[in-house]
Amino acid sequence: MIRFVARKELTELVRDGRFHWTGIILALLLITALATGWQRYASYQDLQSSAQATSNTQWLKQGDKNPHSAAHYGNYAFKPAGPLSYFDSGVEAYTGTAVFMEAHKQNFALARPASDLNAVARFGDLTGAFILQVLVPLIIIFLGFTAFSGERDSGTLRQLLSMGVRRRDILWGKAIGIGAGVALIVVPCLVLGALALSLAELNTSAGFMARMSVLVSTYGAYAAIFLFLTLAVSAWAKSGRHALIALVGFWAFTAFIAPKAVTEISKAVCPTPAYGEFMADMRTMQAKGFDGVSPWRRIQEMQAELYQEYGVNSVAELPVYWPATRMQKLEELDHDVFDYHYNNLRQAYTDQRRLQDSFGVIAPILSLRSVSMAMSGTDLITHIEFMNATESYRRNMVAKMNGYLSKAAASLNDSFSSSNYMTADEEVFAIVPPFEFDQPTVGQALGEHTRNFVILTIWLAFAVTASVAAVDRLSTEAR
Amino acid sequence: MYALIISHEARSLARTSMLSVLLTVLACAIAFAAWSGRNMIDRQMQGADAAIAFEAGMRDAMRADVIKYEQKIEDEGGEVQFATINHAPGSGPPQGTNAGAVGAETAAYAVLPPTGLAALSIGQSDISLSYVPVNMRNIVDVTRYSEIENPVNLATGAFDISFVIIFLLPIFILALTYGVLSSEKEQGTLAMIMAHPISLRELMTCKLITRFMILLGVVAVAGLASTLAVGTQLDNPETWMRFGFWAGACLLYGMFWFFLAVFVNAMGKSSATNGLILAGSWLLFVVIVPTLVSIVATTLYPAPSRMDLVTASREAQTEASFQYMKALDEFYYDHLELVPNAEDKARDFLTLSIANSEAIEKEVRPLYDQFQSQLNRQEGLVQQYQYLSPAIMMQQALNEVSGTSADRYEDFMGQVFDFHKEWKDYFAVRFLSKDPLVSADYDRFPEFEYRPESLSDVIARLSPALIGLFGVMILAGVAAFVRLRSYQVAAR
Amino acid sequence: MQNGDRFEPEREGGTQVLEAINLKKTYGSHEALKGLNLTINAGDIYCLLGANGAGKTTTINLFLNFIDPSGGSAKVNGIDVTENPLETKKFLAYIPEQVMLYPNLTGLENIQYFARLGGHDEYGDQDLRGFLTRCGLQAEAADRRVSTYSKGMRQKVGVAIALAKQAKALLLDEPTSGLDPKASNEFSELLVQLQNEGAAILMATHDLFRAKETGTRIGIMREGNLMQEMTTAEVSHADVERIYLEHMH
Repeated sequence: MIRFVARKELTELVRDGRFHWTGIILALLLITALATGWQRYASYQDLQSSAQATSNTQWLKQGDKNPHSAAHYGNYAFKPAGPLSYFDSGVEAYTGTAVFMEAHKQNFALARPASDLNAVARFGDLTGAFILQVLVPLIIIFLGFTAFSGERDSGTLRQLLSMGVRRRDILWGKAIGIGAGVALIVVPCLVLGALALSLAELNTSAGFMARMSVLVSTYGAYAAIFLFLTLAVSAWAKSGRHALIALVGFWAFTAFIAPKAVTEISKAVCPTPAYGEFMADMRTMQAKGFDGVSPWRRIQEMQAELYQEYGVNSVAELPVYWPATRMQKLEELDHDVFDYHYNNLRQAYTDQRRLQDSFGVIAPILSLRSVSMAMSGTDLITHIEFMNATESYRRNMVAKMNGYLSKAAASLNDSFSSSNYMTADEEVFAIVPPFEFDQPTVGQALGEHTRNFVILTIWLAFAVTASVAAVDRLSTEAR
Repeated sequence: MYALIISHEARSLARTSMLSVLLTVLACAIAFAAWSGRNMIDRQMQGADAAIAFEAGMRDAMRADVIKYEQKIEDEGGEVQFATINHAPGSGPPQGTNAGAVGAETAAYAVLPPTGLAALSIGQSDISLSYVPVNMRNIVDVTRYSEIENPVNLATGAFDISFVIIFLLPIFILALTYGVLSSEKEQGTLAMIMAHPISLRELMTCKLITRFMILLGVVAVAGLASTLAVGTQLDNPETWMRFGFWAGACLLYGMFWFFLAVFVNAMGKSSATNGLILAGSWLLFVVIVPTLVSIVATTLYPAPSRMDLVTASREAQTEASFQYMKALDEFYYDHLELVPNAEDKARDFLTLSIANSEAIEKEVRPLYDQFQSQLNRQEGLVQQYQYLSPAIMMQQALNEVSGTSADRYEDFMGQVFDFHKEWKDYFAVRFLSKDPLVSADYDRFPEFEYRPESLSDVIARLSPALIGLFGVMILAGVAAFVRLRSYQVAAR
Repeated sequence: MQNGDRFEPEREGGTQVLEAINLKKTYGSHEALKGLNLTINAGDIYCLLGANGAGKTTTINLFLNFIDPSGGSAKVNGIDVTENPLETKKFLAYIPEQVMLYPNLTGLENIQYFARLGGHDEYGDQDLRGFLTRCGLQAEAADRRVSTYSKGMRQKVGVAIALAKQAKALLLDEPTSGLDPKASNEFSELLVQLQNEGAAILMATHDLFRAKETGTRIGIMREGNLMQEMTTAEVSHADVERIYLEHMH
């Protein structure tokens, strides 16, 4: 029975002019989005890897100089694109793409693509994810809002029910029919995209399949939520027109109003400082010392400890190069300050995002987009992981250079003069390995999103229950 | 006649529950948007204040040292000396007398003041930093600062009044208008009315005026009330001018959507079909066309990679240091506190550092300009394609009116560059001529003073979008009323 | 119904209120109306009979200028409706099969609105209530929202609107179909009242009995042609039915 209803529904859909037009438009948009996404991804990856290689060479070929100066010269980390960023560009346009790693300073990422984009880019990015998150639900609504209301308006519902068909069978049949209709448009495009990818021999990376399967099932659940909501409202509403208004209203709310409104709320609940405030606070703390003891006092204490350790009484007698040891100590004193400020900031960002996810309870797109970004490697957490990786790299680089200087230049302790200083060459710089960043694994990325999966599951259960309830009390006449 | 129909329409609308719901939602959205826009501006101002206060503190500390030193010279006799660069605390003239040190270690903030309407349209102001620290570092370093904000929030975009106007207002307009004729026809009252001496155009005009006035009332009252409530100053004639343009743009945009709805109604389809067509048009104009235009602009004129700019400016830096400095010099350049009492040497380092930064700037400036010109080309393309969607024109117009557009920022950065040069010149001359700074000099440091753009510049940039909006509004209006002529009151 | 009360129009001297001259309407290749000639004088109740699709509604829509004629002309009070639609509509009242009113407004508010649309803003509430009660609407119903009205009540409001408008011509499109016999009879009586005040009435109907009872003249249409006209006073009920069926074959 379900089979017949589904087949009738699909036949009706496929013969409908609306279906052809929306199908063609959606398919064109999806292909455009995937193609441009892919093109951007590929050219970004080229640029990123060549920039990283150049910067690594620049580090080595910076010329013979004092190792600490080399640390000042520093290196750049360029952020690699997320493994599926051609599908979901996530926050990539709004995070920096380059981090300057230098002595004494922990820096923000530079070069946000968004600053180089026209304001029109703020309308949104036409990506595969955008289409599946925003346009596909609308298509489902367009194709499905008449499912019951239309049959009632045209009187065929009386016929159908007089045949003794079970109501729920009609529901399942219609769900399958409309679902198949939507799949008919979307799946070929995605398969085409996947085929092109495998031909390009990319994304054979570990975890690719896992990421894909999480994405497919999450988006599938999301589409099912909209499908059953549409059927529920269609059975519930007085007329097709009312169903359409209610559904489009809900769609506009979830797709456009809720994300922005929730963003503003999260900003008010977990406020974050602006650049000027952040820097002023951090530099004030640097000057005062993390625990209120000034760095200069700390250095004096440390000097005394060193004298004691080596049983000496003056800098000249120390077996380590004092200026380098001192600089490393100053560097380490700053670590606490940096950690405190940057971690607080990132924690606030993460809290904001988690709060936004929780609002998925009223707009499922909020939960979905977080999962989608995480699986595409373009989310906030990936960015924070990247920033943490650059900071560890920076600390290691500075420590290695200061450490080398501290040992190698110990004999220079007693003589500051322009003719007597230490230079190092490429071989020494090479003790710092090139920067590498490993994307968080799928497991790590998933751990953050339990709440989102729970929310989406609740939505799906709610939508199915609502549609069953609506169909059970379906009446042939407008209420 | 007009008054009769309008009052009848108003009464009929008032008796539907939908109207009050719609209007309440709209008023709430406007109030919420005003609140969040104000939060945004407050956060930026707070950032600017904190940064400026911090720098002032640094400078005051230096000045205090100089005053103390001057007091000592007065008491003990002698001459005010030019300090050697030396970070370590000790005796002798303080750092604050050395113009090179002061110019490099403290920064002056160039602040782009928000216009009176900035809270209405956040535009690009959540990305670009509106308070730029200027010191003696090279100019490309000056451009690398940006405002910090959660990237998730940036990607979602702000819930500001512009969003309400561009995205939501059309939805409310269409909700009130999608069945303006079709529902009367379905309800059967259209034939009853048309049996009376009134033309369809008159009827439609009245219906439009009613809906227009209702929405206008809500937008104007809620908008003005919430703008005032969050403290937008309206005491400035320029603000009023800007507000006038803002209101004008909103009127044109709103009328476009009304006429579009009339046009679709004039095709004589059912209300449900009209609803579908209009929802589709909204999606097309507000979502799809803008994202496509954005894709076209970035594909045709991709911004040269910032990553390339980074590596290239680094290359220039390496080159410059090979040419101008020995490795030792560089070491001391980074750590002037380590230089033993060799005054002349120290002065040389700063001289070199100034020369070095000039050299880097010379190398990198063309790259930076190339960057900027590519962005301008992108901008030009968007300017051309904006006519494809009233939403794009509206966005450009609102950002321009609110002073949160890329153009205004570019003008500001031009002023920052000028100021950077002024700052560098002031301190470099004092430094190179070994002229010690005295405490009174601290009040005479160059200060950035923002030169507001002339209103005619703003209007010139605004006019393409406004003219375009006017054009599409007229087009939609004429098409709608022409189409209405062939409208069939009676079904066949 | 007493025949004696009836207003007998003077055949020759009656003013021509509604006039169709070689009126045509085609939709693509389909001819809905093939050159209709029709004259209805003040005091006439002209009943158009015919199957669905015969052109009755098209004729009424043409008089109302709801559709444009493909040829010929329709005149109200001697004025061409396509050339001067607003002028002619001042004289017309229209009562469709279902009188549709604004459901959220009361009966009184509805009649007030339509009366004013017709250019009559001189009526006070009492006058308007008077029209409604004259048409048989219960006094208390005037202040209820129309969404609570039955079909018969809405038809009565329709006639009240015509009364208030002081229409010279009434165009009725199957106004009694679906009404119960009592309501239908009340409606016919209202029509006679209007006729007595000198209105010209054109009514499309399927009800042969009422056409003969109420009408002064009957026209039978088929496939866009007016097949035959007759004066009701000169034929019997049986004649009407016989002639009608003859034309339908």
